[in-house]
Amino acid sequence: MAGKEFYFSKFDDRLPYKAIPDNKFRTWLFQFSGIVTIALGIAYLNWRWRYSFNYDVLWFSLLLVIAETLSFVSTILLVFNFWANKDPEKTPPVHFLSEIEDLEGRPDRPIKIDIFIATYNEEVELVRLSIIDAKKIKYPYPDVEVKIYVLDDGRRDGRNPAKENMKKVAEEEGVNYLIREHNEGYKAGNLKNALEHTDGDLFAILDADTRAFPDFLNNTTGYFKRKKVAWVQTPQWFYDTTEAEKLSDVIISNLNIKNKPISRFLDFAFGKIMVNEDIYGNDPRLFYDAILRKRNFHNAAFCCGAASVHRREAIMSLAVKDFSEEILKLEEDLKSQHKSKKEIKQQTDQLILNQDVIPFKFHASEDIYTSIMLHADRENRWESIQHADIECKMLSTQDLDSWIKQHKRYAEGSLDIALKDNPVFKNGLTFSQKICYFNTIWSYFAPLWILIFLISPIIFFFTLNLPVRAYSFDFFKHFLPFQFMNTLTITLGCWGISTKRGDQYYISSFWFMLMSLISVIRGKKVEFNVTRKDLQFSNNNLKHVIPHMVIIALIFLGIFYNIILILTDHHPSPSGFAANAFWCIFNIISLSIMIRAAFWKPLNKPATEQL
Amino acid sequence: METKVENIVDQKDKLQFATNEPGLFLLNEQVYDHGSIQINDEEEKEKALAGVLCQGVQYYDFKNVPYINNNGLASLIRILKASLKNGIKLRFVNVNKRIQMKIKTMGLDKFINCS
Repeated sequence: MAGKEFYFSKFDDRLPYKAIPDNKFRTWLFQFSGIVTIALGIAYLNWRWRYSFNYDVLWFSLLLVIAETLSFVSTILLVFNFWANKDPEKTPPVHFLSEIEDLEGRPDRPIKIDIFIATYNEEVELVRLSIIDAKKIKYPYPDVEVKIYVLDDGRRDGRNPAKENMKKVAEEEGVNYLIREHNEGYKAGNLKNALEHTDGDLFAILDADTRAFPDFLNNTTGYFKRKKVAWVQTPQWFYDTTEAEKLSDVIISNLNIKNKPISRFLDFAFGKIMVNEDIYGNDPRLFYDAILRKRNFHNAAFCCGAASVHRREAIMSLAVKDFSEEILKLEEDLKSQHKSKKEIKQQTDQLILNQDVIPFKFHASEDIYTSIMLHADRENRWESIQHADIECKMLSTQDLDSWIKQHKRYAEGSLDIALKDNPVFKNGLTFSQKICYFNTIWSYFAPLWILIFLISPIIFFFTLNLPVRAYSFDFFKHFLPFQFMNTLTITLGCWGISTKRGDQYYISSFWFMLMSLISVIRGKKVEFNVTRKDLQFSNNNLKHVIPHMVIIALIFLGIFYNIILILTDHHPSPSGFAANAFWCIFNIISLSIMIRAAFWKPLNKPATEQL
Repeated sequence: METKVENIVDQKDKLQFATNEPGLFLLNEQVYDHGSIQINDEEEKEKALAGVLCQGVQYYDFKNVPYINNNGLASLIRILKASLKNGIKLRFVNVNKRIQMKIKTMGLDKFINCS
């Protein structure tokens, strides 16, 4: 069974990308460019707010300028986030406990490392692949114990014949197997249970589909010699993103063309154009190699769960402190209510009984929430590290519905933290940590201004009113330098990384992000859902792109209507039409990616190969 | 008080563990196998943290425990919970200054009774 073929088996030979080498000159250039961009942005918005309003449609003018201002906040945050690169120094792996913590009189010993493979309902043969790769992890010191644990929250220990037997696989592979009788806290609860039953000084978290490379620990444990390092996150690399397809193959397949001469012609005409590479925008390189990696400079890189290594002492210090703070808080509350000593004792004892020692926060976004809490620990001043190189490979979501569910959880989780325990107001975080966490949260408010950017041209097409006084030289004099510098700054910040898909998905994610925002504001509980990673094509995809299709339809209708007005000499602002039509090209390209993703299916066999 | 506790520890074979809650035994497992609370002298382990029950109070002798980390504190909390559940008071005795300081730093001194 170990040799079972999966859809991703054909990608096994794919090699990960190399991290972008640090370059001081590029960093200086970015900093200069960033400052100029912010200065030009302030000048542009100053002009927009003071001189550009079309008072005939003040509401429209205001709407757009507010959106532009909010978007500009993101630009400032990006410059701050990307300000400098500070990759930590790489050191050889840890051997003895004394290298990672003060012994305080204890005798020294080799460290112990646990590897947790968290699973819930994933196919057991898929988990077996992760176990096999975990067993191949090398460590240079034979006296260092590296234990592998399968943490099965699906209770697939053979008791239910309808379920696959995960325990049997763990036994066959000779690794430890841990389960619990409930799913409280979901993944965070699963990890809590594991920490209660294990004793590694360091522990690595792998998801069911996370396949570690042999040097995973060799390249990461050395960082813990810095005694304040609480965790090391390595990039999550999805090695199964969709391959590029010939445009001619896509046309032939979608139109079901059987005629060979027509197929040959299409191949001749479009065979060189490749499309649909990473159709779901799953490649997270921009996030890990640029956004998170540059947060090392601010000590604000947060944990993303899988492919990370943790110091047990750090996470347990948080758990113990949280426990005591909850009890003491209750005690203080009761004292302020002038309750009797007996009553206080009874109630605190009750809370002690009910309260758990929870290492990872029980939350839909347990990783980022726990990171915030550790960074905010004023006594310990824990540090985090985003390791630049890829040490694991993982599977990505394989249909739009799963992709959206996963990203909705990220959005709702982060927004929930923003509303309930906002890091901006969190004592203990440094100023730059607060800004970096605010940046993450702020990005989930993007649908507010993206929606305005998407509908503004449509409003113009049907009302024929411009949101600015005129698309005049004065407008472009202020707008273009800012836009040019903004693009240059982003290019420098993301140097060497393609931002094409990221840009498209930033826009086309507006709808589900808006729904997430509304859901959290309405107080709906954020649900934890396990991301499906198998190849499946849900019938729910279409519902996610209806708003996109409506917007594109309105754009085409509006353009058609405006062209008729221009041809009949009834259009009040042909230049305004030209500017808005140009703007819409960008909007359509961005929105169409999600529509294409909703309908995408892999080509069985490239049609042109059959010619 | 300390003398009294020493006597109790000496008679530990005649006494019983307060409860069968896994927390209590977990502590023993963790102490002995996992090293969360490290004891220097291997032979002293058995004596070191034997929990004994006397007149509704569960005593743990820390005289041979030089150090405790946060994982060990989590174990103590689990013991505390298990004892409370069974209506038993808990007392850690012969706790050195360093451990007492650690317990205080983590805010546990209000409900973990140690001396």
